[in-house]
Amino acid sequence: MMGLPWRAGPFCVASALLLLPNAASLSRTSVVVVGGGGASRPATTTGVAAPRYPEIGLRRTGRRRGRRRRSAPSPRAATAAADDDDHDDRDHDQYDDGVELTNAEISRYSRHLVLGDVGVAGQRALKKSSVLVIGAGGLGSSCLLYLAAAGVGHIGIVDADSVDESNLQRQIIHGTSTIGTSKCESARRRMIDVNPHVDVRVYEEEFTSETAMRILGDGFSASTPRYDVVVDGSDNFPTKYLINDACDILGLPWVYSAVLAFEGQVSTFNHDGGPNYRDLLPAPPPPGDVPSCAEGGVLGVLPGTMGCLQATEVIKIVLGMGGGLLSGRCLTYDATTMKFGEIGIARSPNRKRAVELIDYQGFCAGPKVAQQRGTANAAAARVEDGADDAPAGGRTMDEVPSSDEGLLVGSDDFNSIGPTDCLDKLAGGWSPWVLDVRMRSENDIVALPFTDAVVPHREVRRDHIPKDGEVLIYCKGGVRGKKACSRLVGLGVDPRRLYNLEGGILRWQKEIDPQMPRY
Amino acid sequence: MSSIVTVRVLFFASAREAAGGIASASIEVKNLEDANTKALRTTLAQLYPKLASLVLDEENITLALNEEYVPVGEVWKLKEGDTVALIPPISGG
Repeated sequence: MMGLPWRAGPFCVASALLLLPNAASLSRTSVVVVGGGGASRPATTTGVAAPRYPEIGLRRTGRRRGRRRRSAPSPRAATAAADDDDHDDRDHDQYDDGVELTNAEISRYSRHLVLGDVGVAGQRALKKSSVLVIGAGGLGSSCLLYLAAAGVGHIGIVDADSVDESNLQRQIIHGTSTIGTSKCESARRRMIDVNPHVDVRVYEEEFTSETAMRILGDGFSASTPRYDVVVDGSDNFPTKYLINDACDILGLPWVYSAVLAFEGQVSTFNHDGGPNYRDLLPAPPPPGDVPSCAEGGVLGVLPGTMGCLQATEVIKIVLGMGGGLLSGRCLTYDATTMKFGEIGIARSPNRKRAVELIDYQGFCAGPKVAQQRGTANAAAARVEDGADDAPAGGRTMDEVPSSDEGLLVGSDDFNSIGPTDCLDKLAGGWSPWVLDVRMRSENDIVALPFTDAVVPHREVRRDHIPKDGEVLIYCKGGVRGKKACSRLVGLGVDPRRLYNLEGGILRWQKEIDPQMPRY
Repeated sequence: MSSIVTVRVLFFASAREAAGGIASASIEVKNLEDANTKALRTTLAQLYPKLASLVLDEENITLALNEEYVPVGEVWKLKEGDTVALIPPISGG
């Protein structure tokens, strides 16, 4: 290894440190540039004692975290390294933050270290940073993997769910071998495999108004009392508003994304006082009007793409590359036309800074429901809402047709019937007219064999059902069926004619026909 | 006096579905006063009945005029050749 030509620049750092087993003892930081003329300067060491290299100038090059590194070293930096007088005590103070790159990390991150806008200083900033990712689902999967790979030193994951087979079409951080495992643990294992140098902290709980501040303030050290950046990997409006308000209160930047079918949006909010989610969407859409991915479907790769874009934003925030962030811009992506677009978002002059967290489930459920609910526990309500469509073994938010359904105020004078009772009644000669209120694509997957018509629950009208006689309505988990019944009653149909199949086709599969597929 | 302007409308997500699956359309907006985003919403509701309930509700469809988001409660004037995107809120993850 002796006599290798030494070159100036980051490669040189890597080579130098790899050559020197005790390099870390040279200084309290591991960042050195050895340069000057590019001449061959063989290191004469046996590797036993801490080597001394009086003829080689050592100079710290790390810059203050969050500062953008200049893209090319100045002529002075390039030549001054050989100048022993260039040591400066102020430099020592500036980088005395205990964050060092080990030899193994220098090898691992070499493609970053040679990159002008990252470099050694940027990589140290990444190592020092802490990022909280809320949701280890479709968006979180790719984002978490890239944050870990990039060397973000401290990564927190919030998710209360466990891995379900239906997640694997898009949630690539999980695998068949981790089905049934908590998503946090499944993600952590994969991240540690990708990069054992990162510190992964898991929160196997809901992110709610009650837990948000504790989790966000769960600092990694005295110098990082709370997370630096937050990533929105959530799949529902209440959590997005909660993340927004919590970050507004704490002054944290966060990277938003949302996906549906073939489309995605991504933006960076609350960065340096920039616009936030409430500037994009001051009030939530009426409950039930926006389909979830479970209902509307989502192209598996789409959240992966958006999660990668989120990771890119996070890394740029940490590196201090603020000029090119999606702050004040919402990037839209349409995978069908393969077009990216953007909408400029201005900070609303009327928007006041959030001062406290509210009941976000109630906020997103609409004024009527909010009145009824009062300040009921948000987490409990969410579990309750999801119960109907949740697959056995755990509530999975994205299997719920819509997070807000079931909260809708409507007439519930119609009948409800469980699968077993329904089958008994049918065996006894009952012959209702049968309406499937799921999407046609869901009907193609599996349906009750005696279905008479398929009309998505939002579109159900009075003339879709016969004028007389009893009607059995079913959906996937029972929630949309309930909504369709309410809707029909609201349109003047006699509630006594209507029967909603409790638990939908999922419960029918479980209790009556195990041969049917689950989806 | 009335004004007539033709704008290009881009449909996203559920707005596209409700408009019959089209990604974009040229829409003529007539209004007694000025052609504006409010008049455009009314015009779209008439042209695409399935879109009506969505497009008439500001909380259900966000408008972006020439790539600038039109804040809720504001009505912006339209001019010939403008591009307006209909962007329904989405929340999936």
